[in-house]
Amino acid sequence: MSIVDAHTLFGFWPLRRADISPETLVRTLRTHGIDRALTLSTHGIFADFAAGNDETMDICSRAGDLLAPVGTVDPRRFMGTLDEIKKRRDQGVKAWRLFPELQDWSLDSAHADAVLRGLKEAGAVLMLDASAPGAPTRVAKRTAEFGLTTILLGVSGALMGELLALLDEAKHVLVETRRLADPEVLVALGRRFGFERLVFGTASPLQYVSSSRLAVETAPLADDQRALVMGANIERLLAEGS
Amino acid sequence: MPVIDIHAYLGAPPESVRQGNLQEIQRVLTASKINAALLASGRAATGDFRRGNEQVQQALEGRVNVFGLATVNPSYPNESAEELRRRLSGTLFRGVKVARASAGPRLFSEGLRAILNAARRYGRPVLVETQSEADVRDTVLLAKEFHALKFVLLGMGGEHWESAIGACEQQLNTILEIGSLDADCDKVADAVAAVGPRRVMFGSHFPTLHPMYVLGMMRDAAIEDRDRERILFRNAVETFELDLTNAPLGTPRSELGGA
Repeated sequence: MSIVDAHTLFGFWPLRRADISPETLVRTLRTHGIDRALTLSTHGIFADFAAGNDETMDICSRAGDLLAPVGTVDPRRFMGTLDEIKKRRDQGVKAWRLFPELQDWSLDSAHADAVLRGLKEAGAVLMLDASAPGAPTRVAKRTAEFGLTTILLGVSGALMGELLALLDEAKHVLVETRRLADPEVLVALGRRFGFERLVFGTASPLQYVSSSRLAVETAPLADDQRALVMGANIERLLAEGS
Repeated sequence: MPVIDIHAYLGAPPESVRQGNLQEIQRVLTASKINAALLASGRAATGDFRRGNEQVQQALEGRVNVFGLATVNPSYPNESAEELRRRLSGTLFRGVKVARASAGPRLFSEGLRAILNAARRYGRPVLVETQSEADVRDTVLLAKEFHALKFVLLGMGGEHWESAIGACEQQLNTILEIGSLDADCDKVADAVAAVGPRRVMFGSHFPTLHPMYVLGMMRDAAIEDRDRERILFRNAVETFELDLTNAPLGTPRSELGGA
């Protein structure tokens, strides 16, 4: 079974003291036997998305098959965002992240409109934080307008009711398993909506790998179901795109 | 390595896929290699604390390796003091639980101070759910005032765990419990470095969380094995004065063999 972590990052984390250097990222992945990880530079979140994407491309090219790039743009600047999306698409970037929760902009704004449209045209698979109550619904509705395949990040088991009501209709949405925090939640979602809707991610090295990993590893799943969650789903998405 | 879970719930919250009954707790905690647990009432956390405590008493009485936490409600100080008398006079309940959901806008309140005043005679640890920096500051203020009591900060402030570590460092009657949804690396090692391994504990918060989620933090934490053993086991035995057997948690005492 190939293990692919859909959610890692590297660089400098300004919001608390943390070692998320590229070296720590690679060491963490190897320690935990993770075969491949999607990653991006935090410079692209907090400073300059183009320079951050450059850093991401650079580390991924030097890490061989271990790392795959995740692109990002910051709609607050707007100028250059659409060109950046095209440029990275041409370089083979399929996975994208946006950070309205950290950059203080609204997904319902005109500049977000343009970016989401640009990402759809690039065939992007989009990842967005949906940890707050109501966020899964808002993200799903917004990305549905553009037909963007979207992975909800950071959703906890406390939002189970929202997920149950949402996922039947929002076929374009998948859920990261990181904060589901209970194998039973994972099983319940998988049985109802299909295990192809669940994606393993850790937010390492900012967060502990084993917290998210043990929930998947100890869940009573068939081998093929576990393989989907642990890596096959995200690999398929990256191959297909939006 | 033996493990004691210092905070799980009897009873599941409304959004949970779990039942939260004793059979499920036994099954999940035992599968997670947890040897003993302290249980608070899930119902008491958000509703009628007296009925919740009674359910805990009924469910746990006569069983080994499971102990109760008596939930109080600061809006009902007199009734809470009566609950303390009823529950803590025996040996089944080993601590006082302050649930954040029913504790009002501030933990530092006249109601809770009155309850803590009543709690002094029993000497049992007070477990306070802390979900914000304000919760942490209030709990440390209470710990200063009621210095004869030990205060366990459940969840160590949630996402504000750095504040919790800093605020508790000098307040020696405080203990940090690591269980929360915030699996930030490496909060366990940071806590141990600041307050020492004797003032850090493990709680699963099951069924709100799963034991494996919190044990995953312990697995990855960059700490010594002897500190891991303290956090997972020894600190709980000493702090809650637990008398344990080799039987699985929740086994009826009547089913134990031997004398």
